[in-house]
Amino acid sequence: MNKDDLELLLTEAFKREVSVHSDRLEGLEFRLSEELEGRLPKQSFADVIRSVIAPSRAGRVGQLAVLAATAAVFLIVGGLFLPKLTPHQTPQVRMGESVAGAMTVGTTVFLVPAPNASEVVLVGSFNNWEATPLHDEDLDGIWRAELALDPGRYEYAFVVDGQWWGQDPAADETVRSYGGYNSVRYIGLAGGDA
Amino acid sequence: MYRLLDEVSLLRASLQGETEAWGEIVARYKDAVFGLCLGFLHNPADAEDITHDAFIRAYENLRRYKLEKKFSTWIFTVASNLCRNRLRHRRYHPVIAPPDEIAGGLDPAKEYERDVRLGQVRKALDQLPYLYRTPLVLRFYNELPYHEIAEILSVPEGTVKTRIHRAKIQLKKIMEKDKDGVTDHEQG
Amino acid sequence: MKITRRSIGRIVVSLTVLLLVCSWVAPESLSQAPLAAVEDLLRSASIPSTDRILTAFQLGISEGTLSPDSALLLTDRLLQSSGLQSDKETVLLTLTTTLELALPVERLIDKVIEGISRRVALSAIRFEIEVRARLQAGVRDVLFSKGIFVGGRGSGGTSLPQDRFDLLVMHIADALGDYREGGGSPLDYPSVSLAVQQRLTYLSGSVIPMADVELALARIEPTELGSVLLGALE
Repeated sequence: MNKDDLELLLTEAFKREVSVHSDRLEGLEFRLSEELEGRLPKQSFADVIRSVIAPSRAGRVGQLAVLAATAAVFLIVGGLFLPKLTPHQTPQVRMGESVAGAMTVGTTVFLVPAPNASEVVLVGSFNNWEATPLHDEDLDGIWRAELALDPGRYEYAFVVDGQWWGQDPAADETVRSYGGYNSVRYIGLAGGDA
Repeated sequence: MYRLLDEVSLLRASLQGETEAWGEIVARYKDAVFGLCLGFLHNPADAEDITHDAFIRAYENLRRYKLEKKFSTWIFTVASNLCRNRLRHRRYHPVIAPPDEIAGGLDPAKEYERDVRLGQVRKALDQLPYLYRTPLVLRFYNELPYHEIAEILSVPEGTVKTRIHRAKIQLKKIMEKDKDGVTDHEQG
Repeated sequence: MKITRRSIGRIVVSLTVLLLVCSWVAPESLSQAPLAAVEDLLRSASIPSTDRILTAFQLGISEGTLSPDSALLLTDRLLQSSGLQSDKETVLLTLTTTLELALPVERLIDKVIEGISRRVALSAIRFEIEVRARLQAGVRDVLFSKGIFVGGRGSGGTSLPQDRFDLLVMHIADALGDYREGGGSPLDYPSVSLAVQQRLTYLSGSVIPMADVELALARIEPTELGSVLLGALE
């Protein structure tokens, strides 16, 4: 069997399998538009802040304002909801960790200020230490990635233009690993966002 | 009315809450998304669930999507991530999809040969690890270029090519073993 | 029966359906199939203990402590990495032994993959995995000695289901391993204990049930944790 043969076979096999089950998709568009009736796409946390602080401009100022406002909100909220200490030394649970800057409930945001970098990637136990690229779409020097992570403990580091950097200030913990540093986040803590 | 609109206009309308415009987007992409999920998970019920969830989640997060970028890449990424999460909950026990009916009736022998080959491919795909199967689906069902597959799966382009290459080798090996078995029966 | 084109066709179709149905009702054989890729990689690299390694992987998969994808990813990355063949084999055998002892491999595999990604010398990765594997065994012994068992075994103690027991072993050992990498001394018992306490507390309620954390912290002495660490470094 030569290579092209297999590729054609695969395409046909996939297409056939879909057509066998395609009755499940009948009317999906109608069911969904009914289900979504009256709902608007979510306004992101940042959109709200941006519209308050810099109503007509996104970009450098807007993003920094978002970060500053986020930090301010977090300090206030964190202060109000400080969890009580257990008999053992309790590390400060940062409530709202996954809310700050996150556009979607249940996702985790990673931010790296790296104004002169050409490539910033995230490596960690959630992606088998393979590169997940961060993006700086508005070119304000702050690179960003957002991941949906199930509850658990995750070690990670950033690689900025080939250099490993494992001391993320937004991490819950920093550990040594193979002579370098890894950042750690605990996602889905009781007391934090689910 | 929405059928005639271009994609960007539909997305703009959706952002304003025109859910029928979103419905048209769903109509245009549902086969592609369902095919992706079915290829990844091999379970039609799960694939249906996730297709539904992917479109809901995409609508809810539409403000995060940049209109200049490719919508297909975005919706496929949402679906792919949902599939991956679903798989984690299965706790390593493979879900065996019930056998499909073999399409095609009582036609000349050529049809049967094709059906048999397709059946073999289908069975071989079942035996591929998720890691190998996913880029195959994106390449040969969704027919995407390598760099888009890389973006959807969040891996480097080189990794995509290596995995597809290995997946094909693995498939051929499995099918070769299988073919010998069937040939023996045919001669019986 | 008259052999017509039609009847041959029917037989072929029936056999195909039969094959598919058989593959449907025999999940065990299917879960072995993803290891076929692992087997290929091991044999192509002439790893001598391939059969033993595969058996251990298969065991892990059926126990639910190893995913076929992890096994493949690990084998692939390890064999592709630069380093001595003997080190690669030792890493595989350490994981094999861990599986044979019914101890968790998840954190160990992650450490290997991280090390390769960081381009750490394979010998250093090998050493780190050996230490952590021993830490896990040591932690399990301590838990047993404190009357914390896996469901059903032992009398008069507290028994946990296998997966919850594994979580305690995995995370206590991992905390000790990180503590050591951070330069902590095994003899500084309060610090050793604090490292483990903090880890378990961070995970409490979301990953590890609170009751299990409280149980472990209540029963294990700091000196015992220090001894486990010392023992793993010998």
